[in-house]
Amino acid sequence: MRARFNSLPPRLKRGLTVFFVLCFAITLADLVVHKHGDHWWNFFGFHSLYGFVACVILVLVAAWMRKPLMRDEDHYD
Amino acid sequence: MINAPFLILFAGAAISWFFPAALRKPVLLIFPVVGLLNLIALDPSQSWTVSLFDVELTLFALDRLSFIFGVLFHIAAIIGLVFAWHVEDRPQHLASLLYPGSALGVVFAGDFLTMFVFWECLALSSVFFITARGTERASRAAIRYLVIQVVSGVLLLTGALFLFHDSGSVAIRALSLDEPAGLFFLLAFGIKAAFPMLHNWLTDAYPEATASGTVFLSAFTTKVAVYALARSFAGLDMLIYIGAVMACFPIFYAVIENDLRRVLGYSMINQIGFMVCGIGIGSELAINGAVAHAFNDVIFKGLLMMSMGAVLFRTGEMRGSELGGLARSMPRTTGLCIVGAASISAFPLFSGFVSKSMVMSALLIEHHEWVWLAMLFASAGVFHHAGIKIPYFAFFAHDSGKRPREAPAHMLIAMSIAAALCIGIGCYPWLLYDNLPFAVDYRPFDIPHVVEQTQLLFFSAMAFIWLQLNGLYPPELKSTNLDSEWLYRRAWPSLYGRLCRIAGWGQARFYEAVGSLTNALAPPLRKQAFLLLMPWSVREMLMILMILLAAILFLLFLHRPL
Repeated sequence: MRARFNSLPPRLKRGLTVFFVLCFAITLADLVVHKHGDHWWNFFGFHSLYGFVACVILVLVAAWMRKPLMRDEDHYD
Repeated sequence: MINAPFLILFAGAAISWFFPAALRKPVLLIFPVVGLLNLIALDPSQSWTVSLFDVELTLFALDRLSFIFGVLFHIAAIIGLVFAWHVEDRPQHLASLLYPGSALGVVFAGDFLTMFVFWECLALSSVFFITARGTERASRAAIRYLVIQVVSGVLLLTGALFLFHDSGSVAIRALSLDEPAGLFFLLAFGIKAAFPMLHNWLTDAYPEATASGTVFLSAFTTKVAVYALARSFAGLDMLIYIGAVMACFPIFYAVIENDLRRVLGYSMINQIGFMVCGIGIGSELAINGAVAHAFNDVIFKGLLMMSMGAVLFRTGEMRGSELGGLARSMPRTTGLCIVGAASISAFPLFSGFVSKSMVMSALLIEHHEWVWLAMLFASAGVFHHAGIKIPYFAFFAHDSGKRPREAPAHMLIAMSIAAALCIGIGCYPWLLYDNLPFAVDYRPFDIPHVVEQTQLLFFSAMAFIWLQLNGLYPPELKSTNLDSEWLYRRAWPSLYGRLCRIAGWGQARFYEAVGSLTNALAPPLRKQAFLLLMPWSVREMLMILMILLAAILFLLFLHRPL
């Protein structure tokens, strides 16, 4: 992963680094924001964690779905 | 009542028929603009009722729910007509007023029979946007689309007849599944709203339509169904779960789909899931959220469909595997597409945020925690496939080497109007809130909401980057993914073929048996020929005739089932 990141164009690398810092900062905002309600998910960093894990699961499951579901482009023609 | 909204657009279609193509376009555009001004000026107490035999039909009735949908459909027609300014053919021109006109007919109908008539007009007028593509593939998709839409209409009519039989009235009202009519209506609305397993007509037909046709198609049919559900099934618990399934399952398909307009089709089902869920909750906040989200969805999904339509118009290509790098030569389209992507992803200050969060809040208020978690998953997923995938694979990603010209001015104008609405409503939601069915007591921009939504979206983007850098993201491949359409495009024809072969074999054996029986019985029967000369009673004659007819019917059935 690090090798791929280093091979990116410098502008993109800078942009992504700024983005990662922003992600970190917005997660830290949980320390000062008072959340609504009394739910079990009102712990530090829940939405950050959920967003990341949900999307990784989504993509991995979708990629796995290709095995039984994917056919040629002209399957119905 | 001459100023009923549908009449204005229908009249526009009829009048524009007589104009040459060059003049027809401005003429077409005048009518939805006039229609919108007329609707704003209409007095809510007005209605238009006619009597047909014993049935009282309400061709026009206005309340806050129909008003907001009416405004929406006029705006969508105006944007669609500007986007389609390059179109020259008459069928598409007529459809671009008849189709929105039919949608207006449905939302202002006061009874289910009137609704049925416009429901079928919707199906008939919209199919021209698909056939206009002119390919064999599009024609076949159009036929499938039409059959399914007409089935929805027939179910609606059956429901209306049941209702009339049971209560003597066909007036539109809240329905329950305890009455026989309720199930027919729910199925009819469910087909058009693309309920799970009934959804495939949408992802089958929309990507086959013309570049501008899909923009029209994406605006009306499904939103008419959302209106109908809100009108008759608000508070039906089942809809909460149907909505949750609708929001979740299409995003998996969207991730692996190659045709970018089909990705948007799946994304549309996902967004309708939020609306259906809101309608199922049934509280004032939830219904307001569902209606507001329908409004916003037409605008931002229209914007995304327009940006993809512009790409299709310029490159003739819609497959993600063949596109990429278009941002260099289509920078304005790219920027406008990103506005649509931010809106559908519900970024704060974009339109999706102010409406989707109402449904999400309503879920928590009504204690549907698990459904809320599922919808949060769907929210993260929609950013992934519609917010990132669409712009990324069309305009960035690998360079396809294509250098098309920027989209034509009229397309950029149409997209800019939609983008301005996305940002305008996102920054000042009271433009929309003040016109929702119920009074709004909701603050969209409270700090925890904004922070949590930003965290969710940023980390969804982080997941995309992480998967890309690790080589785990599935590449765009030229492919078709099997969906529920497989049942009626492959499984049923194959089963039908087998049944025919079995029936044919049985028929041949039957004829052989009958032949040998007749041969064996003929000589002795000839001696008994006098039987035919006996006096027969009418009753016996009828009985024999009935048996003969039943036998013929049975033989015919064997020959061709259905």
